[in-house]
Amino acid sequence: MIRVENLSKYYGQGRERKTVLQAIGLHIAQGECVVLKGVSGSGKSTLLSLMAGLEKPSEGAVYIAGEPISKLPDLHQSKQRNRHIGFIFQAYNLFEDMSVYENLLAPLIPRKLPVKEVDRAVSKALEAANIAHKKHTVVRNLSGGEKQRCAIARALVNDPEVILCDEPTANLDKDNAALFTRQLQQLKGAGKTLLIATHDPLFETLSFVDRVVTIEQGRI
Amino acid sequence: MAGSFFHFLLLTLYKNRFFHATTLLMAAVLIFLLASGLFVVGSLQKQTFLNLAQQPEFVVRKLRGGRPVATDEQLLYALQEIRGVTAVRGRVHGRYDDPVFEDTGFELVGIDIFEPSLTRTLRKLTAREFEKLSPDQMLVSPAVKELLRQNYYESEYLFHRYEGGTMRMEIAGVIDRDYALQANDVMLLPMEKAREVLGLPYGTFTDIALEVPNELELDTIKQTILSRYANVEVIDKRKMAARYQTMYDMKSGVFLSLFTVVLLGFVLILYFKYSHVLSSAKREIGILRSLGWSINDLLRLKGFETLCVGSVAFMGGFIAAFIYVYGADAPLLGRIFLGYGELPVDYDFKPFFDPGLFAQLYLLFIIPFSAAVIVPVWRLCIIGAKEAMK
Amino acid sequence: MELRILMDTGVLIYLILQTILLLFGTYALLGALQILRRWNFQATSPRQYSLEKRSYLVMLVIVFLTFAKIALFPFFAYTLDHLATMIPGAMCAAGVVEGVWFGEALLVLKLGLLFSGGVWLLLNRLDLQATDYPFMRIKSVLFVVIYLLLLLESGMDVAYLQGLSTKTPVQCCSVIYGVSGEQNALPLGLGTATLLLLFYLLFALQPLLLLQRQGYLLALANGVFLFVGYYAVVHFFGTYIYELPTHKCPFCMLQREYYYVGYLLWGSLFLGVFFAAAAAFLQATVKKPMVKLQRYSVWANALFTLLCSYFVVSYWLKNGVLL
Ligand SMILES: Nc1ncnc2c1ncn2[C@@H]1O[C@H](COP(=O)(O)OP(=O)(O)O)[C@@H](O)[C@H]1O
Ligand SMILES: [Mg+2]
Repeated sequence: MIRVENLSKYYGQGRERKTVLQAIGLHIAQGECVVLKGVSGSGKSTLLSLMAGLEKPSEGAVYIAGEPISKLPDLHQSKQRNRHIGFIFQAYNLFEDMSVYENLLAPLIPRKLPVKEVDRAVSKALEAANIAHKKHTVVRNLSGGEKQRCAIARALVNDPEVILCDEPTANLDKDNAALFTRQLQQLKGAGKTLLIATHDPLFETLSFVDRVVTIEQGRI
Repeated sequence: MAGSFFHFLLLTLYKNRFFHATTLLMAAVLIFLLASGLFVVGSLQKQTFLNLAQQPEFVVRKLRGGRPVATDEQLLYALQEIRGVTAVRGRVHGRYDDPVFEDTGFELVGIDIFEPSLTRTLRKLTAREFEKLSPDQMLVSPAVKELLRQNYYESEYLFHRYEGGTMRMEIAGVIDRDYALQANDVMLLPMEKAREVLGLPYGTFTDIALEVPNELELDTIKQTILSRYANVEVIDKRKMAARYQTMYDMKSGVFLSLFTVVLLGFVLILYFKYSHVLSSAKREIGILRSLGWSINDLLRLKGFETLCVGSVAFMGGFIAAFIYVYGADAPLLGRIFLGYGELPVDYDFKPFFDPGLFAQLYLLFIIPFSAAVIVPVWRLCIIGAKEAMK
Repeated sequence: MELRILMDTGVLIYLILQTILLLFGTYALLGALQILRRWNFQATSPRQYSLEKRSYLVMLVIVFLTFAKIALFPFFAYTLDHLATMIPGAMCAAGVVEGVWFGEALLVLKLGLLFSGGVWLLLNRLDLQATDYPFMRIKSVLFVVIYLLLLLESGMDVAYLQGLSTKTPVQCCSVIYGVSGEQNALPLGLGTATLLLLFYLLFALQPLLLLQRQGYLLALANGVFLFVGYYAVVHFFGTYIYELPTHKCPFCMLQREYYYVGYLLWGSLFLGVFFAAAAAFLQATVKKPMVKLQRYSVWANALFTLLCSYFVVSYWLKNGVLL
């Protein structure tokens, strides 16, 4: 599902050049759940954004569902990201002053769907993330756990095959983190490919995690 | 579908309402000023041409030593004989300065009660009262009436005759406000009385008005008159029209040039305003990128945003100007263009929507407006999503 | 330039806007040249990445430029129409255009500019749809051409406005296009009846060519249709718009008296021809038939034909006779 080949990323040029990722190779099969472990600053977020085509590699390539996402023009890259990848962030990255429904609308807009299908997709994602009862609440008024579920719903609304999580539990208390892992398990059950970047030891103990990959100073 | 796009567009517009409100306000004020100025000039121009259309094609005056002198009836009869001239009319008019009112003069116009071919203007001016006028009554413009009233001439006025002595005239009524522009300081009195005040001998005129219905004959007739009489001057309506046109074109042109400088300033402000967008806007872009929005999608969103704000500001300013000029008769600004005469002009602006002017102003505004935001918007939309989300 | 002409609202606005567009065009040109020199989509260098971002700015500016030019063209026509009030002898834009010897050439250049801008937009669309920016180079070259045309246009604009005089009389449209006018004669000695027959036949041919997917032939037919349509309007349909058999003029219909219908009429003809020609041009570039564009062309021409015929029919219904 996700194939990373000889991926490197540098920032800056000449003497200022800083290597963040160095010749990374990684293959994640469909339906697999992989935890990407590493201390802060080890390059986890960078790897995730490269996988989603949010950044361009300095060397190497990333393939999602066989498509070379890192080599495509922005329009197609964005389309791939829109259809195949759902993001869940530590800081939720929701639009705070919009309602849950409106937050879920955002990923659907580039698809230019008819209104009926938009509503169907939103309802389905809200059900799956268990937040349907807060559909018209403004995000600012939600609790941390609800925000996280809203973020999950948004990541699911386009029915992507891959879910990328960046430090998903860092802002959650114990109960909510447990709830979150249960939802992840459901997603895995639904056949999604999961990649979780974290330094939280919680994930190493989970039964549904297939593999733990450790990243250290830009190397696996 | 487009529905969700516009839903989202409205949301982001609402979200950044304070940012947009200041832009909107500045732009609307700018448009208001420009549009009001051009409305006023346009309206005055239109009225002038309407008035001009009522004027005779030619006015002939006798000259002596290059200066106009009284014209006798012989010339009038002779002009009547020229082929193509349908109506010839002797006119009596001139300046009368009242010794009491310093710096204020009146335009005296003699009207012949028995003259059937009164100018079209005069006939209109006096439509109501004309028939009832007796030889010692006169009509005045509203401004004159007001001035006289302030000086205790409530119902009559005392003229000083040219030959000496005074002459009492009753103020029988006022002329229509619509003619204020051309006849703000006018007094209409019977022709014989006007001659007495202005000092014209009996049977003479200030000038002679000719009407020529066929446009194609104008030049020939003019040539005929000039070649037949060496000592006359022919005033051509077409020349007057051209002169007025130039005057008004220059007025709007100068106004517009000044405005362009202001517009340039506005564009610069807009550029800096959009360049220093809040970090929240950057975060917003980053989130949308991570959700699969392409740069094209973002540019479209921002483009519509700009167009909406610009168009709403434009419409607001334009409509406000429309109401200000045509509804409220442009207090303050009207003064600048009407000019301070000796008597205040009380002018009623007639509502007139000119789609051409609307389109011109819209383009003049929206193109620089969009140009100002292009580079900042692009810079915003291409920032890396990862950086934006920090 | 005479101060009077310079100070005309329309002229002043036009010159200001054209200056802005020229400045932005120059900015985009720098980007386009950089792309021409350094573009390499396969590279993973920071320079290529920043160039890709830069290409969006270039694109944005060109889109802005093209749309602004599309709006400015009718604006220019409107301004000429207004200048007619200042120039002795001119009753409408016809006299003003003829007032300077290259007036007509300038109009044609402006249309050509719109045409190239439109083709650029379409090419850009195709380029973005593909996965490797296949037309980046062609686009950039086309833009350099557009820029040169823009430069030429601006120069000609100034020269043209400088050449106009408010003192020397020009001919009015009834002289230029009228009974005794030099441009009165129909080309190839056509009669009005033959002209109309040709007009409607050409129009009927277009849907057939569309169905047969004959893109190049459709473009050819449109090229002929442009001329036939032009003459048919000036010599026949126009007289029904003016309701006067002797009034032959392509410009007067742009005026308020005729509800500005000329903008719609000429606009639809231009769009029809544009889509057909652009479809053929792109077909030659991309090696794929552009059916959608061809369809737009037929629709636009249908609107044009319908509009023309409407004036004749409505006159006939109102008055029971033809002119
Ligand atoms: N845009 C950038 N420019 C320069 N350095 C960067 C940039 N983004 C990330 N880095 C550096 O790359 C390293 C890895 O960052 P990141 O991927 O965010 O790590 P993690 O998510 O594992 O904490 C850090 O040292 C960071 O300073
Ligand atoms: Mg991180």
